[in-house]
Amino acid sequence: MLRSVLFFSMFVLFTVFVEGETVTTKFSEILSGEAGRNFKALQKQEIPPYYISYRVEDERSVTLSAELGAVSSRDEERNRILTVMVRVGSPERDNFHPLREDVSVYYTSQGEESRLPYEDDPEAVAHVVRLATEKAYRKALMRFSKVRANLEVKVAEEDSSPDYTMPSPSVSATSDHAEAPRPFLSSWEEPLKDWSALFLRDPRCFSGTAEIQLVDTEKTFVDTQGAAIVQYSSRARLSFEAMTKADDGMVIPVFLSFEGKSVDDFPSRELVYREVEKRAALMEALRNAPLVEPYSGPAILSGEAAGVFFHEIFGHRLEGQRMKEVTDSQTFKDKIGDQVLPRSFSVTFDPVRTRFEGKFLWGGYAFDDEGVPAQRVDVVEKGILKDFLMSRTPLEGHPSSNGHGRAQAGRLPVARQSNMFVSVEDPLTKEALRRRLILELKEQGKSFGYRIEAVQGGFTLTKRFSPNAFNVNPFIVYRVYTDGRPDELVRGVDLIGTPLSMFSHIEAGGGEYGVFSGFCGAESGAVPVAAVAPELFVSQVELQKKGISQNRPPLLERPDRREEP
Amino acid sequence: MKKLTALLSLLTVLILSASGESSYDPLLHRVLREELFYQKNHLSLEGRPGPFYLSAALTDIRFRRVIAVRGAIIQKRDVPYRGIMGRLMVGDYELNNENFLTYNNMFGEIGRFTGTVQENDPLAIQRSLWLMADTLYKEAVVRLEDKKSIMKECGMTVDETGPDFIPAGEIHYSRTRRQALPSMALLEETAKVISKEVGSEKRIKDSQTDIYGWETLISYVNTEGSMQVFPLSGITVTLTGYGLTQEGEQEGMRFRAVFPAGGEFPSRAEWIKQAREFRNALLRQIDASPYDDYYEGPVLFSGEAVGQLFASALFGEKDPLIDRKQPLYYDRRIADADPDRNTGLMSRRRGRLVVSPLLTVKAVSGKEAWDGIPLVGYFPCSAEGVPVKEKTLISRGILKEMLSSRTPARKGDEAGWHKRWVNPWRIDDAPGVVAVFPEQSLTKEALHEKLSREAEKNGYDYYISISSLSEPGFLDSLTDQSWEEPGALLPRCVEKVYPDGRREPIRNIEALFFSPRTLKHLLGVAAPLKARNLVYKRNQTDIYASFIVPSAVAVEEMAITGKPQDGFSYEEYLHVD
Repeated sequence: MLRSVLFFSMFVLFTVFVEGETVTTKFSEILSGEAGRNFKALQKQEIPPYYISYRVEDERSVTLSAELGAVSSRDEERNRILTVMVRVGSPERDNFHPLREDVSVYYTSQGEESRLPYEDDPEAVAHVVRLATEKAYRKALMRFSKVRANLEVKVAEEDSSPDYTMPSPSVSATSDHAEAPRPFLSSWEEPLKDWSALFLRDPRCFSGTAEIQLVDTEKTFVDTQGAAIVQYSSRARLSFEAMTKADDGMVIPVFLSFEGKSVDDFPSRELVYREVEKRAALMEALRNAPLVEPYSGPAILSGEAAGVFFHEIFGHRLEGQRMKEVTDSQTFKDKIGDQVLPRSFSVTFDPVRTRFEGKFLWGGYAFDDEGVPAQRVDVVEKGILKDFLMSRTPLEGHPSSNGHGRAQAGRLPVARQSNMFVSVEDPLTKEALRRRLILELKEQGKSFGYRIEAVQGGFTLTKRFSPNAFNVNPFIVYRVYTDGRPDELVRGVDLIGTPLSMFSHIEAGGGEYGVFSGFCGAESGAVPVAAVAPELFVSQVELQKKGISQNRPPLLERPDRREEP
Repeated sequence: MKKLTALLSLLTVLILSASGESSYDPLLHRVLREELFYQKNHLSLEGRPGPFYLSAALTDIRFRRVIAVRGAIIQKRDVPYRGIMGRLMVGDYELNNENFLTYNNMFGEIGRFTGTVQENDPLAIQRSLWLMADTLYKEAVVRLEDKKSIMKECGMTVDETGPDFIPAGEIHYSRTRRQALPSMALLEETAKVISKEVGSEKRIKDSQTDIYGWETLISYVNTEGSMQVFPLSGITVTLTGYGLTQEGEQEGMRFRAVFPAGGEFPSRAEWIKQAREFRNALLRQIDASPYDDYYEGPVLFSGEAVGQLFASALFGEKDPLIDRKQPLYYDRRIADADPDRNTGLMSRRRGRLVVSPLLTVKAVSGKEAWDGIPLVGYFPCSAEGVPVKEKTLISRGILKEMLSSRTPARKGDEAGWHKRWVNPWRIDDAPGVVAVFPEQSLTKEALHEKLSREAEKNGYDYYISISSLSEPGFLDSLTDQSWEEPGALLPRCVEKVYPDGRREPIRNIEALFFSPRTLKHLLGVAAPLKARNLVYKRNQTDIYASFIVPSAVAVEEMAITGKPQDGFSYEEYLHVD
């Protein structure tokens, strides 16, 4: 299965980038001109910058939502955001060097964010860029003096690697092509209304939204090393969220979403209708499902749940800059070459590969937000930890970027996840995984375990001053009995744990892969990511009770369900 | 019920096909009313009475915003929004869940505002109201019980605390024509023209033109039988800019034009003229000398500063002329955090002189225009369903009445009408249109003479003139301005005026605070009366209001000082040329 998947991926690289060839836009030329001019002008200063980059995200989005059968919002938005990075000092030691025990880092950011004109008006663009550069330079100077003082008064650092890896000069490239401007989504109004109205079938559903959002982004990156990169990307999401309330007060959400590059990637409207129907039908079952008691024992995670699980417990802990932060737990810092997963498991981050079994993955790009070509990074091979995700901030033993410096518009990049692929060499069938679960349950003397089917998201804490733990939030979970009873839907559960302990209990993977695309929020803001993972059998997970609202369900029947007007 | 639903749905479809945007629909208004009464009649917890009063307002809002820099658009939005504001009371008019601040409503919030569908779908509107009423009812039951227990603990009776709400009659008012906003194309063009004109001056380091317009149609119903429909709107055109002084300090200025939508939009030529005036005023400000004297003497307020002066002095953060029932507090910490804690204390000065006898102040919020200028503070009915009337607040300096609502400050009060939509998102106790009539007015020349003489008496060879006041932080979007206290106003366009008429611009003046006391001793006021539409801040809320005020006001004595130097100067690393 995995081989065929990898083979397929070779044909779906969405990006064609031309290195060394001059492919620019009028806008990138204006920006490049400003970079050169401002850099030159600042060389006259006592502490001149050694590097300046401008990154511009020009994002256009259209969103249409319906709530239980009626259009609830229509929105179109365009934001053209400039992010300026100015570095003073030298790549060895510059203004971005981590400050230890200095609270000012919580109040001031290093980057400078400005809104740019929608039109490529050279005078107006230059005006905004110059002002932003000046502000960023002022911040850089102030922070650089703090860095120097901080280094003098603090103990020697564990990691003495430089602060920055200078890009190679003159990269000029573009990827893909601009999408034609989209018409507003009027043709989606009726389907969205119909789909959202399906939730009304549940008499106690009080909220049911269907939403379509299309986003087109033109990203331009220029720097004083001569880089001029323009890349285009699109993403689309069709999502559903409905809520009901159990008698004990618990708010029960159900979710469903379809992601793609464009609406062409969405399933047929008939299929969407059937899937929403299923989710709507699930609400009553979830409402009546028993609550889960705290549990420690074996479980099976669906591919989608496993993807989020790996993203939270593993992916975030491989982000390179964390190994330099003395406040971070640095879980895997000294584990390169160690066995961290069973030998059958491998984990790869690959932003170049943007589809899996035909499904578009959100975490793809041609160049990262520091102008580095996207690269596949094999972080775990046959269970052995091999590498970290790197931006241009080097680490000891990891001197260069592997194309994972990423950020939301207005933030400065750090190493972040892209498209994560978890693969297993000797996958078990669904039945075999289940047999392993039952066997393990019996060995542990338990009469039931759990199967986690769908998740809404999760989060993790990696700092030392808080528990180095994760929390994944499932919303479809089944109790699996050892005595052959049918699986039983349960509710009110969160999957929690600590990374190393959890990793040591991953036993086997299945052959059925799940895909999760969404936004990941961390230090450099929200970036689109995806996780592809097989079903997992874990010999010990920990489940805790979810919080429960203490408000009773609505006292009166929903208006359309009333007997009398 | 099924039949009714089917009929409603059919009607909805017919109405929807007429327009993509939400338009007034009498059916929705009726549904809103029916659902309110349904909730009133059926909503109850076991063994407890249901609500005795509910109100709901459906607000169909459209807001448009365009921001431009140097002739280029950097942001624009054109968004429709529909919300429902609901209010529910349990208990009775004498004692109910309101006028009691807890950790859940520590800023005095009443009711709840929630978004709802944009389509005219009666069932969807019913659902929104159903959910909102359910939540409000549960909150109200808890709050009333808490309130009773606090009263018991403190040994208070209803007789002592006074009634909580004044019954009002059934009122029907309908004015369904919306006040249409100018098109996005016109707003964009205007923003470009203004920003280009301001930005063409190289010494202005950065500037921005921000046009924000909103219009809403409010459909209000309550369980007393009142039904009202009326439009409201506001457009603000804000010009902001700054430059560096000779000392490298950031010196900025703001000009704001405020007017309701639906009327004639100023022409391109008028905007260019305005932009040039702003540009020149900003340059004068940048070139002005920093003020380093300590001044205690007469001050002349003129131009747009006069409206801000009256708004801030009479209806700002300090001792506003807004009557208020003293609420009960859950605990002392909530009491200390209440930003309105002293509001209403001025009522103790009824019948006494509170400002100069030169001034008579009237609330005339039912006035739509003054001297041909449409007034942004106009509203026909309050957000509690009370029609607007005229009220004399101050007569020849003597406090007569205060702005009030349906929450009585004391027994026997009549229902007031100044709980209003101060902007499309918020209901607050605030003025709408206020007229300040002088008992006598002086010519500008006579005022100048008096000011000069008074200054001399105080030992100064000049007096100070202020013609613009802005809230601190107005340059936040362009610079890193410092934090300053809410309620303060920064004087701009400040000049020393000498007896021979010479004027010398000064800058770097410390923020000023105004209260009725500021207006107690006036040297005089100058005619004619002018309508000033403005947006002022109170408790962090933008209040759209109109003030019909004299063209200039001379305050007998104020303390004006220069700001201490904070040492922040800004070297220009990249010259913009």
